[in-house]
Amino acid sequence: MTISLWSIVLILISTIFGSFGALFIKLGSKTFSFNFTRLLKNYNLIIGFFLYGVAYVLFIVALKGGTLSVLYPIVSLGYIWISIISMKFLGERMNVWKWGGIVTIILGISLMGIS
Amino acid sequence: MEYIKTQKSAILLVLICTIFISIGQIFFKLGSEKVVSILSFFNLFVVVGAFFYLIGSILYIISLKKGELSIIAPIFALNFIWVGILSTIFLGETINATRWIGIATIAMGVGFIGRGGKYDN
Repeated sequence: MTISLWSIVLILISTIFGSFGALFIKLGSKTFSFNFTRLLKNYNLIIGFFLYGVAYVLFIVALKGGTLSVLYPIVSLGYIWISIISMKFLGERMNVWKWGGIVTIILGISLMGIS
Repeated sequence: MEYIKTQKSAILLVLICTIFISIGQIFFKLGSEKVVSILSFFNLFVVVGAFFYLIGSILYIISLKKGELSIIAPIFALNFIWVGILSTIFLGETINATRWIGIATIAMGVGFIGRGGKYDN
């Protein structure tokens, strides 16, 4: 099981990009339509997918410095960022089921990473 | 921002979305093994994979339109389950006991999230 600090840092940055990407896609989804010109002007959506792309690239690069058994759990922490972001920027409210679900999912993803 | 209660259709959509995205990932994985040069990158597997990604992305956007981010995004963890299962069928990987437990745990967690979406809080 190899870990290198830079790959962990990269993964953390990747998850932050990914969760903000999700936020922008959520914002962009409000005005989503199959109209091509409207899509081009949907800056939230474009920014969102761009952030997703950056997150994905960072993840791929980070994989070179670490194994999935370590990186997967850190990636799953992204779900915590998304919950916090959704509270702060979208006014969504968390409850015990949502938090419990997040913790359980993180546990499950970690188990899959280890296997 | 007005409070949107997550609709059942949104959860169904993201469920289907994760299936498409995971299929796309498998095709990408299969296609990337055939990459010898930049030209060969655009082989059939990658193209088909990109198509599945596109459909999945559209479903994701539509489901976000109808549901909360804190519900829809975690359900995406189902992707790990599909990829795990599809990997055994198409990529020759094996699922050991830990993986099965991980899959079950993720499924349970997603179930909790779904339950959390029904709260009128």
